[in-house]
Amino acid sequence: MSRIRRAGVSVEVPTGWEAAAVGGAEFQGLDTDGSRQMLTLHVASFPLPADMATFGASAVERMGPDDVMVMLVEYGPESANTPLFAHQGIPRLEPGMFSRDNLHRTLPGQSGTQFFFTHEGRAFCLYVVLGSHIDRADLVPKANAIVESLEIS
Amino acid sequence: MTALVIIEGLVILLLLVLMAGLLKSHAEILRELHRLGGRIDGETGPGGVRVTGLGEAPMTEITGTDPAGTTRTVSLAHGRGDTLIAFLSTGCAACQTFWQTLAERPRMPTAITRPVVVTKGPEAESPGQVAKLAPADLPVVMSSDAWDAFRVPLTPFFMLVDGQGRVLGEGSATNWNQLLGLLERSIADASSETEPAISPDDPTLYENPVNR
Repeated sequence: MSRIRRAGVSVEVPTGWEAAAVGGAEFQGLDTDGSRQMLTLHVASFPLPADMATFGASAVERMGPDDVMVMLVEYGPESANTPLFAHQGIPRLEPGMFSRDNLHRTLPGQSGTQFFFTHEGRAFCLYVVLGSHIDRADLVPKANAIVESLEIS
Repeated sequence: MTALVIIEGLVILLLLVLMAGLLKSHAEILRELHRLGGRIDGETGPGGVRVTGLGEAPMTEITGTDPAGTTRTVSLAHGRGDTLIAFLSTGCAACQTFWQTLAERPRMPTAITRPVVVTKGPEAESPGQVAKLAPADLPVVMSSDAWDAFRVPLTPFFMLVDGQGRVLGEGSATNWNQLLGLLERSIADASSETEPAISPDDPTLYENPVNR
């Protein structure tokens, strides 16, 4: 078990899991459109590919039915507390929040959820993909363990 | 005359000190080679230096940054086949062939599901240089902590870790074929240690098990 930290966000990475964090205030890189790259955090129960899209498009195809992938994507400070990000605090996931229709990249059997929130004045989208929609009741606790270990300052 | 004798004595003393230093460094080199299981008689075989059955890897995950600045944690205990860790540097001439070959998706034993390149951290390696050499589709982690933890003695250096985080073999090689030999032997040794022996009534021992 280790903890990955970047730009005021940290999360526990259980043994056997992988994580990648890019962008954020401490990073000076620019996106292809010239805008500053915001923090993106990926935590997965399977080996992550070298290059990943923000919402894990290239990673989800490697998922098995028992796998979970948690993604946290930060938006600009102007988004905090706006109607889309009105929810305050890091959400807790429930199996009922997951649907096959919530996937950014639809793959057979998988399920996803997306939740926008504001925490410590910062705006985030939490996007979680489960390897199996049918087994979501078993997989959601794994995702919650990651989400509950999130620390945002 | 006395001065000449004193000078001669000093020169002899100096030579003795130099010789002692050379012998000491030679002994250290031999000791290090012995620790790695290497041989110096020119019969090193397909794997130049090799040790198997080393037990648990010193860390089950490697955390560092990739050349683009992404903070990464790469697991060595992901339970999905073996991981080949290639400890490479941008400055070592012998590493160049491995940077190049890894980028070409080389043939590899099927047990190895993922190669991972580990360089020293950004304080010791230029991320720009690493980015130029890094294979596009392989994880590259820059971490001096990993180098220290795995006690990397030279470059290039390779370590084969199974899906539970156990080291199956480690060593150095000068070309890809030599490394392949090292990997295949390490995998074969590991599987022979875990497979049960054939019992006398094993059906594969008899041409016609029905008439036995």
